[in-house]
Amino acid sequence: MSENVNDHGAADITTVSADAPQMQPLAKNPKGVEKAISALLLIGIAAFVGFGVCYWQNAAYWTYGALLGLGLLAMGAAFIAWGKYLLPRGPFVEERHVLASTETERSAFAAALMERGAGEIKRRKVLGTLLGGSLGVFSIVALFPLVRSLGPLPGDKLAVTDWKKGQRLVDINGNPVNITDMAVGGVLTVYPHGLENTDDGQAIDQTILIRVQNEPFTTMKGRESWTPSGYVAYSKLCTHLGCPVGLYEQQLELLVCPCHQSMFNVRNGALPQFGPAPRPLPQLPLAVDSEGFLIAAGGYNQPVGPGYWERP
Amino acid sequence: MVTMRSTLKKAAAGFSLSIVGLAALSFLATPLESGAATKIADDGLGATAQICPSGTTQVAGKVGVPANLVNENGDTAKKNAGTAYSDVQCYNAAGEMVAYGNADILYELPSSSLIPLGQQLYMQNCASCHGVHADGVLPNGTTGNYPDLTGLGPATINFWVTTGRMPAANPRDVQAMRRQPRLTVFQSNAIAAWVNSLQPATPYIPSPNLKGANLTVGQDLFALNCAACHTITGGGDALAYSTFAPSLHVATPTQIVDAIRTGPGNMPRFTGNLTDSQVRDITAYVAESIQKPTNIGGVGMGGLGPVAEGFIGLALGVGGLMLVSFWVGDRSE
Repeated sequence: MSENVNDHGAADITTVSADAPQMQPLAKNPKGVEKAISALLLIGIAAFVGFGVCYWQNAAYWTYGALLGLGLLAMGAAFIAWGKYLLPRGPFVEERHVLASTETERSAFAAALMERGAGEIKRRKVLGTLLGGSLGVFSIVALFPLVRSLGPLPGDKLAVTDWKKGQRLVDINGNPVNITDMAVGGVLTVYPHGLENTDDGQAIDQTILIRVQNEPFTTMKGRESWTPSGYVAYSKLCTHLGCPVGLYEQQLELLVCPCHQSMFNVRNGALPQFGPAPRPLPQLPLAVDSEGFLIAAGGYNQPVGPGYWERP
Repeated sequence: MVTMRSTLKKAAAGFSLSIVGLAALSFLATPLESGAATKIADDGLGATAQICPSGTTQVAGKVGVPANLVNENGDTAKKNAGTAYSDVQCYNAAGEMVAYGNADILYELPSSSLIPLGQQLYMQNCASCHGVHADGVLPNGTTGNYPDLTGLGPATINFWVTTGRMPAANPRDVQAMRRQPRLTVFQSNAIAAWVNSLQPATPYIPSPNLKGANLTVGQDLFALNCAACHTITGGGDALAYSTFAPSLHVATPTQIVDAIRTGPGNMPRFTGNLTDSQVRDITAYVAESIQKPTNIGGVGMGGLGPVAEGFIGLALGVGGLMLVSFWVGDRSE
């Protein structure tokens, strides 16, 4: 070694002799461990060969995963075991010089940066101003794509569905529903006529139509004419978190939501009888047109789905 | 000092717990449906082929509730109001409709020669709860405890008796469970013939023809109408107030159409809004994809979803990985 000023006073480098305790393998019986690792690797080879054969012969898919997994497990275990038990066990210590720069070097660097570097920028006033201006404008316009990517304002889309007065109820295939079609205790998922194949129609306008009995009945005050021939229609979106409420139990007259088990009583306006739903399902007023098909007598009188407004 | 042996002991102890867990779950390893839709080969019968049983006259044309199914009060078959869409009806020599339907599903009335046997079997097995007139009125006059069986159609009787739910194992149960049937199909038909004779009604007992079914349509309709309660794998699910939707893995096609058309128990009744072709497609989907699934992953675990699969994932996957991490990271000295 030399008298170099950058030596930082390194200690003499020594190497460990081959007989030192930390150079011995960890295993008390290295030969036995070697046999075990050989077995693992043979299992791995066999598993990989098996995978190749199965893949070539188009065997059942689960064999691919099983054999590949087994092979990788065996190979991985062999690697770990070799590294743990057969390699020198350590610990090994390596001397290092002090990593930090000296005090004189640090203060000289600080002086060069602040005095000479900053002075260069202060000298060119015009360029410095223009640089600041371009950075400023850039940071402002970089926000434009961010703001636009937030999407259009919803307007009143959250409050209003596509159901309109006089619109026929149709099922998923576009067939309108006649009042003689459904037996007592039947259910059907309906959409506004023409919207049964659209995203909005299926996501927001979906309505569950239930025939509770043969005669009209009243679900709530003011809704006396909403259930012709015993048909009642509620929004299918659960008022808890929006899952489609498709489970109808005809003897209990209960609509159950499958996600969090909110239960709505269909006889009294889908009032929640159990579960986390905070408000009843909105009811669609129904009427019958001249040919006997069910139509909506108006839209929903409240927003459908989960509530998004403050409640007192 | 850590040795291979001590680590293997730890691994063995840990894994034995996982194996016990897996063995406990092995009873759940019933097949899982894959959802791959295929077609069943068509048998070439058109919608209005000659399908009526021999000895009957075939008449074409859709039927509502036929006039001879109106009871003495002028009511239509009140509990089954809903159009029985059919392409043909079959009338016997006496002018009674003994079958209706089309090439997809043929609904047949059990022969009236079974009525005396049916009455006898009914009195032996059913009258103690449902009353001697099959109207739910007990001999001491009380009503309302057990359902009125009249006006519901032979398919209702067929469903409840051939699935073993009736005669009820425990009449006080909230929901009767499927079990080994106590009466044969022949006996069930006889009872259905007698009960139907009290107040004739549809639907008759269906014989679905699964050839040529479109499993894609079946899957779509199943997902829209059935999967909410029965789950997408047909494994069944719990509902409100101790009721539940049963598993579909052991239902026969006739029982499936029975249930769809009659809406047993809390199940809704799907009548006019599902055509026979659609009901046939749903039945074929259940009979093929749900009851005979291909388990691509190897083990279906009952098709119960995330709970069973999560247990395996956590016990074997995460547990195993934990043991491996302990082994790898063990200090050498």
